[in-house]
Amino acid sequence: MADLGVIALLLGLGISAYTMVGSLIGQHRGVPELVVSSRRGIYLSALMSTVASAALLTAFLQNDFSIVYVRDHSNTVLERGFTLVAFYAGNEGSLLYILFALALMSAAAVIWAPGRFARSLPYTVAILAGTQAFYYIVLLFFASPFETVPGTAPDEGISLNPLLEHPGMYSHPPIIMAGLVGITIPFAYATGALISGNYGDDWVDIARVSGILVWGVLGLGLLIGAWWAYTILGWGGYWSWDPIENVAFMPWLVMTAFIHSIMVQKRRGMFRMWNVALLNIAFVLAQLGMFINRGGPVVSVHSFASSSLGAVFITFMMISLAFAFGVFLWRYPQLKSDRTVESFLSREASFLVNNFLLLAVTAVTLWGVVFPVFSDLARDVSVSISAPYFNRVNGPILLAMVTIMGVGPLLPWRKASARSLRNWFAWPTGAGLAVIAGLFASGIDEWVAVIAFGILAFVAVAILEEWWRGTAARHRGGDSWPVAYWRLISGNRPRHGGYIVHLAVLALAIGIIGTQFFDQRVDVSLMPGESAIIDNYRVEFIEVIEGARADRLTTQATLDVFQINRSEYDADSGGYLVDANKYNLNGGSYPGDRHIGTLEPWQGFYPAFNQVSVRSGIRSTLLEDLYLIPSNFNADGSVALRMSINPLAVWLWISGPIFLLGTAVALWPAPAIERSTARDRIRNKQRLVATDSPEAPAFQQSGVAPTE
Amino acid sequence: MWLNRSKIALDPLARGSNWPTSRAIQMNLASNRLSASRIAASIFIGLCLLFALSGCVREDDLTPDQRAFALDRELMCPVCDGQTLDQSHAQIAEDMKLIVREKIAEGDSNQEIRDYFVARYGEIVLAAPEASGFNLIVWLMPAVIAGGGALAVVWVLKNMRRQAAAAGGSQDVTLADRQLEKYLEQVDRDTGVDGDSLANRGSSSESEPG
Repeated sequence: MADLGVIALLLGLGISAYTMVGSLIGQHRGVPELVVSSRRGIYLSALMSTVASAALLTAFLQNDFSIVYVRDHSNTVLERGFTLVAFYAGNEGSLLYILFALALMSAAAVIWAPGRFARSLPYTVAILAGTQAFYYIVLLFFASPFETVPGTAPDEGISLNPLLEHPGMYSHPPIIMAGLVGITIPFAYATGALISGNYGDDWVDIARVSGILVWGVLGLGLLIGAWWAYTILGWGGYWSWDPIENVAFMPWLVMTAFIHSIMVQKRRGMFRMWNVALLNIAFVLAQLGMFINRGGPVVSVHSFASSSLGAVFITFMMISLAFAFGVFLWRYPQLKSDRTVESFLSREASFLVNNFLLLAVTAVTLWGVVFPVFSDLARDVSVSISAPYFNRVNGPILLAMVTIMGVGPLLPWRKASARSLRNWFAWPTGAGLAVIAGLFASGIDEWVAVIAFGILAFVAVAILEEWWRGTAARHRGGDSWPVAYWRLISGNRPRHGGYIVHLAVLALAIGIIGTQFFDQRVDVSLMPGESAIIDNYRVEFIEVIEGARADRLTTQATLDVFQINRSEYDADSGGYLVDANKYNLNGGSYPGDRHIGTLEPWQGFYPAFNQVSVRSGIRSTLLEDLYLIPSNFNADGSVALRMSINPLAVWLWISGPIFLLGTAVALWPAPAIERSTARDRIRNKQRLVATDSPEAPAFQQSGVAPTE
Repeated sequence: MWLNRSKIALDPLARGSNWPTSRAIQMNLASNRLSASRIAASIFIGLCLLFALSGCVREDDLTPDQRAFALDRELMCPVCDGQTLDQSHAQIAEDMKLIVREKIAEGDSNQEIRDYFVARYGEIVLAAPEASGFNLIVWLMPAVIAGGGALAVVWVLKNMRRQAAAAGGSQDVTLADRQLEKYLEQVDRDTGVDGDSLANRGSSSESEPG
C-alpha cells in the first residue's frame, strides 16, 4: 500500500507540473492541443490524489502498522468508524486529505467553468495545478503519510487521540479543511481572468457561486466545531478565540465580505478591484492558517496536527502573497469601475460599510493572533491574547455588523430618499425600541445585552417587512399566500437566500448574547443522594458507575434533574446545597418538584495518553441549557460537579440548519427560463458589443435593477 | 430601486421630468452631505461607545462566586496550550482555581489576584495583557484599525461621489432607452419571467402613491 501511495503521489506531482507549464505555454504559443491536454491533467491529478488517499485508507482498514502514520493514529481496538477518520487525524494524513479535496474541487471547477470563461481558463488551470503541485511536494518530501517503520512491523498501533473520538470528527475537520483549501477555486477564477486580460465581468458569476459554496462549507465547519467543543470539551464554551480557530474564522470573514461586494459588481459593475483584492486576502489568510496550524509560532489548544513544516508553509504563503498581489497590481489600471457610489444612503455604500466592518474584525483578530509573537521578539516577554481581549475588541464591531445587516437591505441601490427611509425604517426601528423598552421593563439590567437584543429585533423585523411587503404585493396579484411567498423567494434566490442566512446570524447572535451575558455557574461537591440547586433546577446525585473499555476507564455520574419551584426552597442553602432532611428528600422528591430527566456525564481516562476527557450532560430547552460537568470524582465517593445555566445556547445550533437552507437557496440555480429577463438579455448583448467603449451601455447606467 | 421602478411603471408620461439632470444630482448631493457625515460620525461614535462600555466590570456588584468564575476566564492555565483556567481540567488549573477562591475570601481585589499570578508565572498567565506600557499598543490598535478604516470608507465614498457628480451627465438616460426599457419590462411581465420587480413595484406603489 505504501508503495502504491508513493507512486500515485509521484505521478500526481509530474502531472500537475506538466499541467501548470503546459497550460501556460499552450496559451501563450497558441497551441490549443496543449491547452486541452493540460486541462485534462487536472482530471488525472484528481485521479492520482484519489488513488493515494484510497491507499492510505486501505492501510488503515487493514491495520497495516508497517506504515508510521497508521501505527501512530490507529490500533486494533479502535472502532472501525474511527479508523476511517484517523485518516485525517494527524499532520500527514490531513495534508493528503487537503490535496484530495483540492484536486476534486479543481476538477469540478474546470468541468463547470462556463464557455465564455474559456479564454481565461488556462491560467486558472495553471494556478490550480501549481497549488496542487505544492501539496504533492510537501507530501512526498516533507510529510509523507506513507513512510514505513524500519525493521519488522509492530503488531499494534498507538491510537487516536481520545479527544478526537467523537461523531464531530466525521464532519468538522474534513469540512473545515475543504472550506479553507476551497478558497483556491474562486481565487484561481478571478486571478486567471486577470492574467488573461479578461477585465469584464465574465468571471463574476462563477467566482460568486464557487465563493458562496466554499464560504458555506467553511461556515458550516466552524459551526460544527463550536458544537463539538460545546458537547465534548467539557468547559461549557463553544468558541475560545484560539489562534487555530481565528485563522479559520478570518478567511471566512473575508469571504463573507466578498460574497456581499461581488453582488455590487454583478448588479452595478462596481468594486472590481476590491473584489479581486478580497479574494487575494482570503487566499493568503487561508495559507496563513495552514502555516499556523502546521508548526507556526503560536500556542494553540488544537495542536492535533502540529509539525515542523512551518518554514515550508510560510514560504508558500509568501509566494502566494507575492503572486496574488503582483497580478493585482499589474492589472490594477484596467480594473477601474464603470460607475461610482452616488450617495452615502445607498445599498452600495452599505455594502462598503459591511466590508469595512468585516475586514476590521479580520484585522483586529489577525493583530491579536500575531501580537504574542511580536511581544516575544520585541521585549522577550511572552503574553497571551485570548478570549477576554477578542470579546472586548471584536464584540462591538460584530454588533455594528449585525446592525448594518438590517440597515443595508432596506436601502435602495444608488440613492435613498428621505421618504423611503421613513417608510421602510418605521417598523424595524419601532420593533427594536419596543424590545429594548420591554426588556428594561422586565427588570433585565445588562443593558449592553438589552441594546443588542433591540438591534436583533430591528434586523429581524426589517427582513420580515421585506418579505411581508413582497408577499402581500403578489397576493394582491392573485396568488395565495404560500404561493406568493414561494414565488417571492424563488424570484430572487441570491437575495432571499441571503436574508435566510441573515436570520441564521440572528439566531447565532441570540445564543452568543444569552450565553455571554446571562450565564450562571455553581461548583458543588455532592455525595450520593445529595442535591444542589441552580436557578430553577434541583440536581440530585444518584450514583457513580465505573466502567472499562479497551482504551479507557470511564467514571459516569447518574444525576436526576428536577424542575423546582424556587420559592419552596429557602435561600438558606449556602453553596446551593440542599438540606435533604429539611425538605424530606430522602426517598422521594419535594412536592412541587417535577422530574424532568436524568443526565449521565462521564469522565474517561486514557492510560495510553495519560489524558482525561470529559463528556458533559446537557439538558436543552429553547430558553436555556442545564450543563453539568463532573470535574472530579473524589475518593470519598462524592462528585465535584460544575453546574451551569447557558441561556439561549440552543439557538447557536438552530442557526446551523437555517444557515444551510439560506446558502442552498442562494446557490440554487434558477430554471433556465427564469434565468434571464428580456432586459437582461438585451443588456448583455449591449455589454458584449460595448465592452471596450469608454461609455458603458445606457441600460447599465439607468439604475433600473435587473431581476436578480 | 423601488423608487426608480415606480416612476417608470406608474408615471410614464411624467417620467422625463422625474429623471434627475446632472444639476439636480449635484443639488441632491449637496443636501445629502450633511446627513452623510452625520451618519459616518454616529457610526464611529457608536463603535467607540461600545468599545468603552464592553469593558465595564462591576466588581462590587458580583457575588464571590461570580467574581471567581470571571477570574477563571481571565487567567491562563500555565501548562495547557491556549486554555484558560475555566476551560482546563488539569490539576494545576484546579489548584489555581482554589487559590483564586481563597484569595477572594481573604478580601483581595481582582487586581491583587491577577498580580499574584503574574508574579509567579509571568505576564503569559493573563488571558489578555494589562493595558499599560508596551502592551498598550495591543489595545490601541483595534481603535486605530476601526478609526482608520472608517476614515478610509468615508474618503472612498466622498471620492466616488465627486466622480459621480462630475460624470452626472452620463448617469442620465435617453428617452429612447427608457421606452425600450418599458417595452422590455412589458415583455417580461407578459412572459411571466419577471421575478422580483413585480413585488417591488407592488410594494413601492403602496409606499409611494403617485
